[in-house]
Amino acid sequence: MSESRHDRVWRDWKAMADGAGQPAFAPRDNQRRGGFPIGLASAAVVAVLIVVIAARYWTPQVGGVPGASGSSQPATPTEVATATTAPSATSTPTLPPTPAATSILSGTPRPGDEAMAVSIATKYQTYIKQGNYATAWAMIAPQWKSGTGDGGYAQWAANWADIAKSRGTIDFELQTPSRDWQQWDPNWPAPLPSILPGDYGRAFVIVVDYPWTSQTNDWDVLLMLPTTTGDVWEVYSLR
Amino acid sequence: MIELAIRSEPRPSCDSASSSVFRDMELAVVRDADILYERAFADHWRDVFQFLLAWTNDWASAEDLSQEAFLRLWRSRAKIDWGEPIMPWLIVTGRRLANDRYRKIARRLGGLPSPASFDETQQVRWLDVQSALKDLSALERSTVVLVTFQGMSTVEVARLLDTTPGGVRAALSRGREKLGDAR
Repeated sequence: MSESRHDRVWRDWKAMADGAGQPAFAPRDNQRRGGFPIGLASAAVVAVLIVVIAARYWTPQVGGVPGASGSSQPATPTEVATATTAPSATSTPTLPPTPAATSILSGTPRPGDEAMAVSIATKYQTYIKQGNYATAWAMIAPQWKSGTGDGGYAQWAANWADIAKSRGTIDFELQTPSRDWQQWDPNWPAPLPSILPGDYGRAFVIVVDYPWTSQTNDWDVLLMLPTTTGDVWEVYSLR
Repeated sequence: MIELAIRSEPRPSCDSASSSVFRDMELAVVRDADILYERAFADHWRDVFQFLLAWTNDWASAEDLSQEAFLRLWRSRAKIDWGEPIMPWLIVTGRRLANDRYRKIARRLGGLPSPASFDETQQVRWLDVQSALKDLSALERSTVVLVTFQGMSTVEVARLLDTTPGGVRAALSRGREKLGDAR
């Protein structure tokens, strides 16, 4: 009996996939994330929220937001992920050593920026938890919503609705805001101003934990990044 | 469930002998988790890679994401319940990594290299397969792999991919339709 195209394509796929060489060694690193507030093995889903708060969404006169289930954790010391680059050797004593690369965002946030980042992250996640996807979506930076070709609001909201249906509730726990871009992922690609434009001097990363079930490990990343003019904070949902 | 707290100094309320015992117990648990991790890698790498290959339809991305998924398992090894099957954890982690919008864009902009192991014939063959599968969604491709090749039930697959058993069956059917059932 001749083979269908479907079966033929998948037979070919399987033959190639089976031929993939397994790496000789399992990946390891020596990095430990200290101060991780989530103590239970079953609860660890870490989402990094870099919350860019849209001031136009989060001025005090914006409609009341119900109390957030998530609460920011007290600041705990965390290991800073740094890309290690040895200082360049030089035969000229007067030259300063090349500073090691760092994942810490340069610049200095203004007073109140961190608290605002937590507040926005809490509101954003609360809206999602309540199923108010439209309001949460409205908090996301326009260029991020349109530029990634991921199907727009309908797909985004449908994904959250599916998760809510399968999980029952989208509880969350916010972690301490950080200025370390790679705090929770040392392999996170460096910020790309071409797709994430803004004032990184004021941006914050906030890890959001989703305690789904004991056997999942999930997280989200939101970038809270003021525009370069500083007038507006925008939310980038990176994951 | 093995719970482990790695401490860099002895517990202050214990005497030095008790502290030493606690520390030895902690180190023993770490060593167990290391062994379990290695075993998980040996047992599951291929299945994880094949799932991610189907999900992304991109060989270099699948290799990259497989390594990343196991790296996350390594980092979480002290918190994992090793008494439960580890494949669901890896599949969900891999899927989330693959769906990471920022990583996707950065990969696309950065340009992952072609698999180093491919010769020209294999490259052409892979491009043919990839082209045939590109019109299927990630769900439609990965359900074939998980159900047909890895023997999971539609219920198990639904849980892993955040959909319903009906959704899994529909994806399988749509995939078959798109590729053409004609003989």
